[in-house]
Amino acid sequence: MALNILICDDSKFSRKRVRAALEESWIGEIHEAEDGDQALEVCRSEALDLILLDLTMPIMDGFQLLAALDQEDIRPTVIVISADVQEGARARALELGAAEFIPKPFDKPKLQGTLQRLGLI
Amino acid sequence: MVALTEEKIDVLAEVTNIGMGQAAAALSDLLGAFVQLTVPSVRLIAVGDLPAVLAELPTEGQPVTCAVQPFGGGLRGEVLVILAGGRLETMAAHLGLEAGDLATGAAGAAVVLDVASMLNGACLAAIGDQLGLDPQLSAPRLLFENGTDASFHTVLAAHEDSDWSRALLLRVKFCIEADAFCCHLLILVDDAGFDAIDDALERLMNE
Repeated sequence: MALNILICDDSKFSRKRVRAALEESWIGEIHEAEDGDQALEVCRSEALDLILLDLTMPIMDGFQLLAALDQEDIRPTVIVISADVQEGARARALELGAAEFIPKPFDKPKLQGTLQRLGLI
Repeated sequence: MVALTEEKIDVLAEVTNIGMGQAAAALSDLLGAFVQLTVPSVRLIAVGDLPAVLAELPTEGQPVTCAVQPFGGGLRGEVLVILAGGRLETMAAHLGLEAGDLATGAAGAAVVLDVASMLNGACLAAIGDQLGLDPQLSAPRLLFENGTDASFHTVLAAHEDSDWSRALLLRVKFCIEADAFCCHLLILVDDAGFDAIDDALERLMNE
């Protein structure tokens, strides 16, 4: 299945790492955003299958984006990939609608296993 | 010391972000409270810029407590831990201590130094892991307790005799959501440490 994917992270290095962990065959289209605000714009204009979302970002953070997506009834699968490894952060992200939480630093097998478990690949 | 490229600053900010996340988790476990994180900042400063850096901290006239913890080994520098926006009693209450337990200055200092050690240990270990460096923390010491912005002169005085001219500043901020209580870590790395980080970032970018 070729997925329409958004990578949302304020770090260019981190976005590059996430992109490198994705197999070419999984990707239909790929978009990038530096914060939740930019991501929300993409979500409004694109039919996304998957968002790979950081939490700690300027302007609009990952929690705020999850809340905004819920409010606007935009419901792609969201996998949070975050360095905020507090149990409270994980629980809050899942409560707000994220399907999975992957702690940073992460590796390709971890992302692949998560995508398989969610039936996305 | 040469400047870091924009790309390396981005990588170092992400490395610091991961260290900050580990420290926040340790603080959250210790206090039983959710810790609000903000994006870390990375920049190169002259040691003479420290007054301006300290003045940027949003203490809002609240009491400020400051500890310093040097580190050496694979990376040399020091961490300034600045607790602002609340009193030591707030932190002590989260640790299950009564106000009376802080009747002696030594008990208050012990709370600050325990928190500083825990934050610094978690943060620096994660940064060191990613960079393939092994910073070794020495014992922390209190610079001042329940002071004001003016007390920052103690920090500056502590650097007057240092042989540092410039420092790499990694700044992270933790706020305890329920209390508007914030903790700032300023990680200062000296010239030799900067060179080690620069090499490590180069390796990381080419992985």
